Amino acid sequence: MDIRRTAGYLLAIVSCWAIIGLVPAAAADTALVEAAKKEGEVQIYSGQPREAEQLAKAFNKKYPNIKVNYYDAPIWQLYERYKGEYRAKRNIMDILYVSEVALAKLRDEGLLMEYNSPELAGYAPETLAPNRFWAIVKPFVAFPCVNAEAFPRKELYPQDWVDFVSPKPEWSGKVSVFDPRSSGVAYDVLYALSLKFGDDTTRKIYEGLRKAKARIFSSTPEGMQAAVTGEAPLMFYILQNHWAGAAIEKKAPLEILIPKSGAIISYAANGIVKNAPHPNAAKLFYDFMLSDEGQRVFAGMHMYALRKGVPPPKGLPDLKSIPKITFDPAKELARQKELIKLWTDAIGAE
Amino acid sequence: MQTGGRCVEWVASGTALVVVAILVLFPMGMLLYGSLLDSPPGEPGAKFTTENYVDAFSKISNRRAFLNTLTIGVISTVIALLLGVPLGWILARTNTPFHDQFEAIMIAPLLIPPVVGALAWILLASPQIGVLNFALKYLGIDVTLNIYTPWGIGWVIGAYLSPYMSLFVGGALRSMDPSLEEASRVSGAGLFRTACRITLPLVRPALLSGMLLVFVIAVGIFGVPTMLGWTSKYYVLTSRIWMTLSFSPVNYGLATALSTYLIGIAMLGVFLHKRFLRHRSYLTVTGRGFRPGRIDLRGWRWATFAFCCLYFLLTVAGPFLVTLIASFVPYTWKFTFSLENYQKIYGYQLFWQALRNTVIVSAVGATASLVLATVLSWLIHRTQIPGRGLIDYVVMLPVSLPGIAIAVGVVWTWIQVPIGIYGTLWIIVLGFVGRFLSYGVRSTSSNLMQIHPELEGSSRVCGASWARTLIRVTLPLIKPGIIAGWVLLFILFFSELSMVMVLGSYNSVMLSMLMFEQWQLGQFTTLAALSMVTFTVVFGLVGAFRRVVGADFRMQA
Repeated sequence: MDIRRTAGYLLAIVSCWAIIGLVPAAAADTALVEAAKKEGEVQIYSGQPREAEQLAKAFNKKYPNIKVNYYDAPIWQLYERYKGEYRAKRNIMDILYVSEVALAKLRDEGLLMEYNSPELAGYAPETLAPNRFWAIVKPFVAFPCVNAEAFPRKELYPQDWVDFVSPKPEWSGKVSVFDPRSSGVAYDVLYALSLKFGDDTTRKIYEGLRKAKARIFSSTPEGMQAAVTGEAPLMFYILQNHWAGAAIEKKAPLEILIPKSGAIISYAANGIVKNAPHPNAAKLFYDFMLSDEGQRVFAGMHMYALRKGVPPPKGLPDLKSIPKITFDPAKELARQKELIKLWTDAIGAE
Repeated sequence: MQTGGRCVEWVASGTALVVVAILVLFPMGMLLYGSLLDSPPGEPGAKFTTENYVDAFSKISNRRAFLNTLTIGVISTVIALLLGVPLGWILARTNTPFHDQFEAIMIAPLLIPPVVGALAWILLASPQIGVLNFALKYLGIDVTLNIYTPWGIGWVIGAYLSPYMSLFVGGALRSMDPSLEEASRVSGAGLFRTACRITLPLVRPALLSGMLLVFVIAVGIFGVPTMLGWTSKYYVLTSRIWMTLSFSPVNYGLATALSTYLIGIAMLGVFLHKRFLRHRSYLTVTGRGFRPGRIDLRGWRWATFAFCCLYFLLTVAGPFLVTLIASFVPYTWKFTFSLENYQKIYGYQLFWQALRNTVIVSAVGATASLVLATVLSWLIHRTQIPGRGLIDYVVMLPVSLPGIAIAVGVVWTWIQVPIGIYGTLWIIVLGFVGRFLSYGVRSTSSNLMQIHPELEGSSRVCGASWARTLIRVTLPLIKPGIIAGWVLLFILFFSELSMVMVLGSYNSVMLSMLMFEQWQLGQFTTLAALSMVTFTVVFGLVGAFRRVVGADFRMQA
């Protein structure tokens, strides 16, 4: 009897706390929504083409009274644009949605707002940003790729990044690689390889690509085009969303090759800028991107979602099941000059 | 009345010069200032430095890029000349069959954005997958075309820019009194001799203006040498500038310092242009009425017809067909045709806004440019205002810079101004007008130089004011140049990307930005579809414009 009464008391206490815990949260949400509606709009500067449009559509189904304005451009141009506007006190942007590395820089410069989104409770600790100035929204996953029709012999496919140190003769003239001086992701890959294998092996990887007469492209999409047409059917790496756009949406015969050492992972994140003109609408949109609904929008665009309970996009392996190489973006830019020199010397570019 | 006329002259001149200063000199000044700092203007702690210039001029890689740039410029200009000049003469002066129809599509190469043209030429002339190489192999011809060479790059750019040569030369030929050629023919000179010894020298201003413009544009193009040269480590200045602007820290100072090579090339070109044309008279439009006729080529007209067909096949039909087919397939080359790419475009929320913005900016920008260009041309060639010769140099400055660099200067200028221009369509219009003013000036100047001052002098002697003379005498005579200039600028503005990337914002999105997005996503067949939509819209609008002004234009001829 005593046990039952005690259990009953405990249950009552827990229920009360639960109710008390819920009520303030519901009130905060409502207050935020009302404040956001008063502001009436939110401006997103996005380094991820087309994503802001899809997110905006889904957001507006839930919050039709808040207009979402978005602008897509390359990451460092957005960074410079924001800084220019901030210096001139012409703040237009509310949210910057770009690679983590750019947000890390802005945080160091004191140009981001700190915000602890309640939606972060839905994420595993290892998927959280190291601070509350930005939130990781989705990963970029880079792995080698091949046009299986133009290059059908599977025994010739690379199994790991280090296989490029000694390229097979059949690869000659058929590989594409990307210039880290013009492509941020190419630099991410270069940096990640140097962390994983050391500078010496990384140099040998790019020397191997040079031996294989790899074609250098200024950006991944150009290389993907060359792979799709069969001109350069083996790609040193491709990003999973580019691959999905070609292989899943358009049924191009591109196959991803998961390296034994791991796919290289970097992250896209969002951050609310300092002096955002619509801070409450920004917080609401920020929360939405991290919510279950928002993350399912990403999954619908063939992106991996990091939130617990959101399944991987169709046609792509579960991120938990593949080996990964990750790195700290805050440290990435410090080695830029040195690594670019390593790359230009190894690949033979000027 | 004379005093009043002079007063109006000075006010108009002064206003035009102030506008040029605002649109051209301020942004250039901001860029120059930025090139002497180690971080962007206004950044706390920014310090003066010459490091950017030391880097630009001392590094071997930059010097080699400069030489490569000159090479591409020369090859492109030669190709544009070889294609565009004969075409301009054939269409303006001969009885080649279907010359009217060819003339209607003469500007077609300009409607294909250079990046799309480069992509099309990869599909046509890549050593591994080029359609033309497959055809040559099939025919047993042991020749492999390679688009990834300086000649390949020069070909794509030269073919793209050849309509400029045709328009300049054709416009000048239409305004020319044919009695000079008739006198030559009557004296026994053959067709070819007349063309070489009489016609071409008389249209030298237009020829040189066209060559100068083509060369300066060619060395400043970014997309084509990037797509075709980067894979074989062949870098030009615009590639190097792109590198400095693509990564952190973005170094606008170094980008501007590298651009001084391009500015130097442009200034040298203007200087040589002026030097070559001075002390010579090219007056071919006089007070006597004339009716330019067409030369009867007799049997040779089929040879010129074949030339026109070949020209359009190589510069338009080939790339256009490849792009058109690509727009209906999921990827190149999977031949399952559908409208999926077009449906995707029409489903974009911003598509219609982008289309509307692009039409507005292109039409308003082209019109504003031509109004200003006409006044400036008149200032340069018809007044004695001190320093008028400098105007040519000043307006040429921005076109020699890569678009992305000059756009940064425009932003740095207008972001400080409290009136609401930054972030709107207006900053794009102002940026375009400032950057491309020289196109309009070249176009109107080459026509104005052919008109004898006696025509305007007669009007003033009869009591007409400066403004009345300008409107009733000068403008109608240079109308071909104005129309050609407007069409060129409209097309250019419609597809301009590099400036729009920096000047555009969420409420001033343009079609070229949507194209760039497709490029970033690797969706080339959707990009092809967007190119086709752009092509159709521009072609339709230009056609409508020519219908409106074309009747008057043809009556003059």
